[in-house]
Amino acid sequence: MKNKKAQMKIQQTAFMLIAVVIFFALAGMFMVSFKLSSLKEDANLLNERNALLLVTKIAESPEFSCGEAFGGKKVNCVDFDKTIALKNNIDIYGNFWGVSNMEIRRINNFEQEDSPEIECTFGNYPDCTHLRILSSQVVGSDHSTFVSLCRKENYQGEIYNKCELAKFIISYGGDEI
Amino acid sequence: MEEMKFKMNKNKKAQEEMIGFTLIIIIVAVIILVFLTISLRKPNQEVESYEVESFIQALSQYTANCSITYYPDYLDIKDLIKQCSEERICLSGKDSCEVLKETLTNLINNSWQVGEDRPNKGYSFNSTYQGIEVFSLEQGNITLNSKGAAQNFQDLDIYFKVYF
Repeated sequence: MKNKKAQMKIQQTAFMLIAVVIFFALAGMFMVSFKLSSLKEDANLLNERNALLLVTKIAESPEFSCGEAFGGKKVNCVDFDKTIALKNNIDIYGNFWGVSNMEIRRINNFEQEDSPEIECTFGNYPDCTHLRILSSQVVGSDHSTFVSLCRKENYQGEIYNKCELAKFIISYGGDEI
Repeated sequence: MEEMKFKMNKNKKAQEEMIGFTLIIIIVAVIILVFLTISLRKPNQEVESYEVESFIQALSQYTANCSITYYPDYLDIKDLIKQCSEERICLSGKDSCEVLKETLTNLINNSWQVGEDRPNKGYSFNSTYQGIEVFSLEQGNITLNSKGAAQNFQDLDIYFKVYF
């Protein structure tokens, strides 16, 4: 009788121990999965930030940046006149930037729904919607940043600065850089 | 009589043990629930965004269709906000605030398309000059998650937030 009672007690303790171990294992698994998911999120954010920094770095390079040509130092500013001229000599640069596509898309200051897409050339400049700087095949994912797209304009013989809003887009697949 | 008393005592002890065990389970469950609600509850998350920062910078340099002194001395958005705070009229006869509203609305709507079925649910724009609000704009849904940035140009502050 006494033996049976002791056995019951031992069984009770064993069950309790098993339950405690299972509980801690589940809690541990929950914590690990929670940590891993936040790590993935952090990695994605870092990748996105790196891509954005790369676009900005290219947009701010001497080949594109406004410098002080438009009255003082402007940040995130692309010289449209310089860029259209660069497009004609882009073959010299080869794979200098390590990206498969480089494009500037103007953002209009009017309601636009189905406005036609017109690629910028020397012939239609500046009455166009986008400028493809590199003409190679687009490979990889797109990353973009907002830039100020400035050019010199003529008003009754007087030259003035006109800056618009645009998106500077690059595409790269990761292995180019 | 003695045997009955012993049996009753034993029953009472077992009941006490059961109550204790139940209490422990309830306490542990409450602790777990509190822990889970704290760890899973998402606070109002606002992320500082480099993309929004570049947008404000580029937007502030935009040449608006308003000139106050002579043609072609067109104002950029920064100066237009200042002129709007002083209720100045453009040479074209249009109110500077009207030009500012029209320009900003179109530029923001064309840059950040918002909607229920889009990644961006809404946005809010705010500009203050010398601490006084000059122009603000809000569109779409204001959600708990947002990315935003603020830029300071001496007396002028521009805030822009995109909700997703």
